[in-house]
Amino acid sequence: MPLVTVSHLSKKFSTHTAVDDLSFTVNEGDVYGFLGQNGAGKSTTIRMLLTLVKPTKGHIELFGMDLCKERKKILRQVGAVIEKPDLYKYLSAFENLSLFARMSGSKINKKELETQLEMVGLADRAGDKVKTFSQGMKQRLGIAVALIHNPRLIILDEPTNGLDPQGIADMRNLILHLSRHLNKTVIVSSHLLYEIEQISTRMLIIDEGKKKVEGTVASLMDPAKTLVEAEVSDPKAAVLLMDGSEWCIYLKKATSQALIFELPKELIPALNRELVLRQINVLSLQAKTSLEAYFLSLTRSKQHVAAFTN
Amino acid sequence: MWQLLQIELLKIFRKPRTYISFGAIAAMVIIIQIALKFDGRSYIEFIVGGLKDSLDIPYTHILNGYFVCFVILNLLLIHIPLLIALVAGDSIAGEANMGTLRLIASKPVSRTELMLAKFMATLVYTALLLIWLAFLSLLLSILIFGTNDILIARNDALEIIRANDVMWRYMAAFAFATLALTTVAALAFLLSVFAENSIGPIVSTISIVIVFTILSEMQIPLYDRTVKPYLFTSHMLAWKGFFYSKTDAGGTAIPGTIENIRAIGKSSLILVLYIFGFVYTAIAVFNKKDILS
Repeated sequence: MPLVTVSHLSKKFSTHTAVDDLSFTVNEGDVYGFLGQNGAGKSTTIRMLLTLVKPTKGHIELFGMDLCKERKKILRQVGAVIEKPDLYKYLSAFENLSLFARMSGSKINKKELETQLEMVGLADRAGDKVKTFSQGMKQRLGIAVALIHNPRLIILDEPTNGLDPQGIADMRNLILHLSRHLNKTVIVSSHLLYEIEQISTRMLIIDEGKKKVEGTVASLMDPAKTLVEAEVSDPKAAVLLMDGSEWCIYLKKATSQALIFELPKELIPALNRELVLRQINVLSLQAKTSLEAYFLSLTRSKQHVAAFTN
Repeated sequence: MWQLLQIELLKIFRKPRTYISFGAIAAMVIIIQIALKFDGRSYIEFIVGGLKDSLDIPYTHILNGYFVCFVILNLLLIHIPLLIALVAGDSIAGEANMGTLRLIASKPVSRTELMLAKFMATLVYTALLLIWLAFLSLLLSILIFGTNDILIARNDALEIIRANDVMWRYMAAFAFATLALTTVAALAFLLSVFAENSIGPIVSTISIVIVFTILSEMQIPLYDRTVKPYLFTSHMLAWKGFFYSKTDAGGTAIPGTIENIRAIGKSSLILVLYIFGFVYTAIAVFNKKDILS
């Protein structure tokens, strides 16, 4: 059952279109990865899901209810950490948690608040002011705030930003714990493919506000669809030398520097032998999943532009 | 709503900045009290001007707690708006700057409720600041200087109000001052919606109050008719009207009377309209605002 249904969502800020006709669904129990580079439109979409930003066009349904009409009912079941976990620095961890629990409309007693702080490893700092906390501790408190009212849907926007490697690992484990043991549905956004592929069951890649790829991680990372980039000295000649071979069915395209094949991962050694046998000068052979290849192509094109504009 | 108001009050009164205003008022009041205690006679001479040579002025009677309180209110009620702006201007913009605005706006409370709770909390802060001012300027002055009749200087005349006719006037004056300062709070609150940090709305509020006050005080006939009646600052000092009594044929103040109650009522109404306008606009703008901070 879809927990989140986003249909033809658009957001325009004066002349800039941040989100352009975006549609996707998140099913109950998913860890839904929302992947895209900085400025791709991830945060704007998440802010629209949380009613912080008003869509220019489109429709959002959560838990089968219209977000515009049933805002309060819906937000009672949503917990979120949006970018940095900014909290009231002059209040203690306990006071922050208590304050946001009350705002979430839940009746939560002192014991439950203490348990929540214990869960994120802040029980011994409960009375300390947030201004004395490290970034990682603030992030954990932000998670506690997002979870205190026991929401069905948790939205985490770039949750690992500013964390050290241990903090990133902890966050990953926490997301997996929420999904596997507490049956929460999680939407997590990131600009790092590695991070998303580690934890997500389904994912969406967004670029310049538009949906590029959506699917299960298993299918997008399918080894049967490994892309192999064979850098050769003369791609045009290489295509002629491959002509008539059974390998032509795997050949996706030829660029000015390489031949791109899509094939099961276990066939890569045989492809390598075939290229050599056909006297094609292979300079390098690089294998990537289709998702990785796609995401890198997005990244590379942006870096290319940046190199010229900076 | 009550719960939201409690939360907003907690946020205001746990913030160290809030107490700057209370400290500043205490400092200013005590400085004035010390000055009047040791050199009150000079100040009274300054007020009565040339009359001191023709009249036998009872300086020790005039320099009493009621009089000192009147002097303090005259001097401070122009400057307290600056202190009000410190908290009211911070109410939305401060949250935007801290990054907490996106967190509270994504909670299951309507934006209108949130704004009303914030404004009501600002109102409580304003009222408490006035109560603090009343405590220091009236009660502390009574303790230090005692009570007696009060001498009020009006343009070119002096009016004496009997001691037993003063306290209700102060209560009314402080209530009116709360209304006047709430207008400033509402303005700062409105400006706070447009900003991402609190310095902008605080400075803007102070600038507007200063410019409007100058316009209100300028003696230019053109502005007297066209601009002054509509400026909220022209009505903020109407509290003084509570100390102007009707007089009998012999020119003596009649106890329990106010010379121009209609003018005070009109000023109150104008200030209420300003408050309503500022708060309504702030809520309308905030309801349409994309929160990107």
